[in-house]
Amino acid sequence: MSLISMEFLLFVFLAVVGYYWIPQKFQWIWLLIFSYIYYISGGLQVTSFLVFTTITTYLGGVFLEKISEKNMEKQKAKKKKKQILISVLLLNFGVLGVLKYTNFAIGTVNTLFGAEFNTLQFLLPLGISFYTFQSMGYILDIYWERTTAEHNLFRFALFVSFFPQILQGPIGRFSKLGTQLFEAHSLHSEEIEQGILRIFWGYFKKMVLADNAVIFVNAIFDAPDVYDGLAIIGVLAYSIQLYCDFSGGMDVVIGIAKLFGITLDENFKRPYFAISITDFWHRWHITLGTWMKDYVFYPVSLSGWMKHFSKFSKKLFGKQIGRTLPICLANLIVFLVVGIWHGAAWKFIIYGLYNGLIIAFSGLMAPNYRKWKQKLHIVEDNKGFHFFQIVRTFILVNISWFFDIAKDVPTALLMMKHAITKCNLYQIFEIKIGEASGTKYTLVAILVILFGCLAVFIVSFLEESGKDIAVFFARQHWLVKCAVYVGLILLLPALGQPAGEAGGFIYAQF
Amino acid sequence: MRNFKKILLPIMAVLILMVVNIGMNYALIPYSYVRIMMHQVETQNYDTVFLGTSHGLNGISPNVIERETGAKTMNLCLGGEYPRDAYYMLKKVCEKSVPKTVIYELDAGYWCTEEGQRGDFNRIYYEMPFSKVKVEYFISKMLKLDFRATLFPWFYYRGQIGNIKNIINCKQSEDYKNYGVEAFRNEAQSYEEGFMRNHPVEIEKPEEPLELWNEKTKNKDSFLYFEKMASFCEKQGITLIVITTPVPEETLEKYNKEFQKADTFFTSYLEKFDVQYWNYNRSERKIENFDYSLKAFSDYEGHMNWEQAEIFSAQIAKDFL
Amino acid sequence: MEKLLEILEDIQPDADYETCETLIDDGILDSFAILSIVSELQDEFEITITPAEIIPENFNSAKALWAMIERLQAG
Repeated sequence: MSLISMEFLLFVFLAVVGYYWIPQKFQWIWLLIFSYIYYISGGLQVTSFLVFTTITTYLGGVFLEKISEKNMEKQKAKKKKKQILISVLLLNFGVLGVLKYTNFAIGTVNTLFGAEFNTLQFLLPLGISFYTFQSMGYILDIYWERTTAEHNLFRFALFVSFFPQILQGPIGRFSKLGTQLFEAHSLHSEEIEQGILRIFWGYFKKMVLADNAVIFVNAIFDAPDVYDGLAIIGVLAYSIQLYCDFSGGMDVVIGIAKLFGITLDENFKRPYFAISITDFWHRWHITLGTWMKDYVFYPVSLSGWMKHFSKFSKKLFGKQIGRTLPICLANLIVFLVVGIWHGAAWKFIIYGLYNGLIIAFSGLMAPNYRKWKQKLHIVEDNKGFHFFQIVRTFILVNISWFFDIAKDVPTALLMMKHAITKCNLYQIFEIKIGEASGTKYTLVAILVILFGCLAVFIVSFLEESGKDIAVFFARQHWLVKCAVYVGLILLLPALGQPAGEAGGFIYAQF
Repeated sequence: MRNFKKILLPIMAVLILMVVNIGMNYALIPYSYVRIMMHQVETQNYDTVFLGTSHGLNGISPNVIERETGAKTMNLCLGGEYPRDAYYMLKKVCEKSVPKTVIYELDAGYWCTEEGQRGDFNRIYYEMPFSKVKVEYFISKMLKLDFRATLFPWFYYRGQIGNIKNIINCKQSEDYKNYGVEAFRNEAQSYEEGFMRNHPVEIEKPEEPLELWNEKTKNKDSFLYFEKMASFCEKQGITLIVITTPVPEETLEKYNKEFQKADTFFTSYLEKFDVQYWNYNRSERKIENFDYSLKAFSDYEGHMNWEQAEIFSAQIAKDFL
Repeated sequence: MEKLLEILEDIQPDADYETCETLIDDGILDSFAILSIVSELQDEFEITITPAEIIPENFNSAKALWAMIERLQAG
């Protein structure tokens, strides 16, 4: 069920009305039923994968807790717990790995050794990486005793399958999301108002901005030789498309959850205002970043062999570089994983490593930067310097997008070359908006994107300066609110592009 | 007071949206002959009904067939009408009266492309008067689509913004109120005698878009809804016949292989349902006095001129008897 | 405790460790800083810090860090 389909709107409407109509103690069951209807509507066969993850993780959690409670010998208990943890992790990441990466492995073996293995057709369960990550975070939290296990299988099933978020996140934590899901919620008109505003703001970003931008992105990146003067425009359009598509989808998801009185974690915090790549990853796909930090970065950094490496490197390079180097290595591993998560292709591996290397480099250089800044008398909160940092980061991010969007690594490099050596902005007027109307609406689309970006920028800027838009909106006269709703809703058909030309949400395929 | 305001906000918003919507629909959506078709379907009884695509709309004259066979005939073929749409059109017809014969005009392109890629794909739903069939049609077609298709029908006609004056003038004319056809008359075409008459014009004949049969990209729903239609006809005691209109010999020569493949495929497919398949591109179905040259068509795809359409329709009537 | 403050100062100089209670919540210490601190603490106090210990409650203030060190030394 696509997030922009008529059936989805009706589905959400029914779910919300029923949710506040039934007795509150059944609300979570209601959500579970709707979550499963939602999932099953995407394919009955793939639902078995979801059930598999739910049951294995649930059992793992219960067993882990039992061992902690029992008065077993400490060493023995530790060993047993580790065994359970590893089997749950292996089973679930195993399924994810086989389904998502078998064909990449076959393709790589074929090219490396000139073999001719056939690639396989897999049914990819919807949102598999999101619900797998969410469930594995849960099991690790129990292992580290950060949270207690859920003893009701059906409650746990809701945590794994909660329908607004299962398709494209945000990746939730049991300690935060679990309690909210099972609590009783009474109807608050403020939450409904906020939720609806958020939903249509998300649709606005997706339909008006992302779906207009994608036409330019596709035209330019499908024919990099034809539009060789537009490489920069192409990548800028992609940065608009990707942000508005993904964060717009998140707005819809978070808004829907709000209709049920549930607050999901934010996944975006004005990423293009980031002052460094590290900062960018604290603002972009936040729940993936914190998941990686908590469940990959720290465990890898604190593992036994990393400790040995740390001792070794401290001896070799001295204290400061010595202790930073292992962290950099762990960080590189994280971004390798992030890259692979984005897709099974070499360009994504390079995309990940590029990000990892920049962060590692700035980590190593941090003490030097501090010294240089002192020498140059640069004050951290200087506005000009802040602006410089934002622009610098935006450029670095855009370089990484070339790897994300180009069809392969050589094309990405070619486009980057074009970005520097060639520039012919007039080519943009040759791009057709829709087959039938040709280039008649190209200028309109460009203006729509520009003004749409301005709107998003103003909202982001206000939020960045600490204003809470939702609170501000809630205080307005009801006629103003009415005008905002109507205006926002009418912009979708007036200026948005039809889904046929743009396709679904990008992150819904992960 | 506070609670009152809380209810006022959504009511007001929905009301404004509805008013704007009605205005936009009126101003942006041009008059279409689909409206005439729906009007006729609602008010009259037919013995023979044609369903299918733009080839049928251009190629079949219901008057000629009526004259030759004596059966009251209606042409409900439309560009963008997939088997799904045809099925619900037929059900809509049957709400008024059940025809004796349904002739489905098959264009293989509609069986191997995604719905919603052609022209006015939303129009049949939009013009269909409210009824049980419309609700079924909504569930089958509109639910899966972008919500804007249902909630804002004018969404697909935004491009008409420069044409608003003409559209409004047209909708206020007597012709419109009387389900007239004046609005569809131009140099190249006119909607008269129940079908779209293409007039010969001297232009370079376009080759694109030409959707040929491709078994690999089968549209499962097209098959599903054709099968529904076949079993519906059987239950209602309607004779179902499938035809394919002739295309120019230039097209047939150039894409001979694809046309052969499509013919073989659909012949054996339709045999399974015991449905006759008259493919007028087969050599044994060659029509006397019919001009197969590109001259007599407006494009490679095979939209024929009205004179050819009358000859072709006479042939169908003959085969029919 | 003094040794701890020295380590903190060395790794991330611009913060007031004596009073600040929100080192993590306010983002004063990022993950690189946290791991650098962990690395130094492990060497200095001969303790093993597992991923389970990396929670904001343990890192939000110098006091909390010290409490964690003492707990791990005892255990």
